Amino acid sequence: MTCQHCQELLSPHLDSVLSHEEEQNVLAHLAQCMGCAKYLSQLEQNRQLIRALPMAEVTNVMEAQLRARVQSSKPALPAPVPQAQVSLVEGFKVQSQQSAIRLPPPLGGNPPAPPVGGQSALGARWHSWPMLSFGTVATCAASLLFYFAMMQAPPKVSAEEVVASMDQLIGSLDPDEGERVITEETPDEVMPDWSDETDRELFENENEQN
Amino acid sequence: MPEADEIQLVRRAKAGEQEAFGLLVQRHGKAVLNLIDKMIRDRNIVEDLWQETFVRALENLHSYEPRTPPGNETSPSFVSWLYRIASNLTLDELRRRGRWRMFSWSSLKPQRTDEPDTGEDYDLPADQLDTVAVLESRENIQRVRQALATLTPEWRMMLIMREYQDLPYEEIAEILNVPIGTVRSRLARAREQLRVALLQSPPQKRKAHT
Repeated sequence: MTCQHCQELLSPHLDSVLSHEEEQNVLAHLAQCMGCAKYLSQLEQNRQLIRALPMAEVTNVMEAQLRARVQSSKPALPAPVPQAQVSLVEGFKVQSQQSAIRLPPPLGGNPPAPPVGGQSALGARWHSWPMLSFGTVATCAASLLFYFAMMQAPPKVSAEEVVASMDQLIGSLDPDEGERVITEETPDEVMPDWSDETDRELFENENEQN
Repeated sequence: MPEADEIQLVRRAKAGEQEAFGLLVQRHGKAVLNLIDKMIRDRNIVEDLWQETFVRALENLHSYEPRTPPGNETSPSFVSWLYRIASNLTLDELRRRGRWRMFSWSSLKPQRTDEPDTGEDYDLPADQLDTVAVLESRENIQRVRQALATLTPEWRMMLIMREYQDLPYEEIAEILNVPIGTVRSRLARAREQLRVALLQSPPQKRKAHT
């Protein structure tokens, strides 16, 4: 047995799925080949490294979110099965007939149905990229239309007309109007009320701190 | 857990008993979560996929036929059925993210897999032979996860199912809908690629406690 052939068999040897004859050949080769023995040691160490990865835990928040999703995805069909007892898990109330409107998953050799429909948030995310493409195209089209609209030449106005219109605009302004407007429209609440001495002290203290 | 008890729970859940489905979630939620968690590092995505797995299971529960009598290989066990839904959702998610990653700048970075496999400095020091102690270091957990990330999603899924979930070849083949021979050959290649990846990132040295 060559080292290459032996190393190809070390993975199934690690899982104890070799035939009796293959197993004997591998063991005989390992007894006299330090390289293949080291290779097997590395595979065993890697297995331990993977098995020592931290274990993820299902949190109460995750269970609560699952219950909420089950409730939100429940179709509005009448429940055909009466409630036999009060449940400890309130969210899992979807009846089998209610779910019959969804695509059934093939069983017994066929993989379950691929992501279909958009009823869940994740399902909607799966199908979001065609909408993104449509949105991108629409945005590009709108940008092009805006660009060409702006490229049109502006109306021709002579410099004299512009100066005349500005003079007319300035002449129409009342010099007292701005002050009057500010005085009339400024509410009293904007200005601090110094009638309360405590507020005034606080205001001054804040200014000193700043 | 007796399989007959599991079948009874599935039948009660199919009949619409919310409590039975809740118990099934409690029994298998952690295993399903850890399968997804070892495939995807983003915790939010992991929780989304975990919830989606059980929502899909509930929606399609009416079409699942429990294995009767126990041991009948024509129908998957309930946990295998859950694993199948979870693995399909996870692989779909990874493929979807992979399509977007094709356009990211990170895809232009040189891959370390082109580096030669020297095989040196692989063996753990004597004080680090306890792999659990090694994984106490966040850097080493990252190292193992990054090495797993170099595998294709399908190979990584098989390796996680075998090494972390300790599933037999037959069940992995049933879940992923591939022949047993394919499981054996892909596992060997996945282990070899993981070995090379770990060789290229030696374990972090632990700091001596004073």
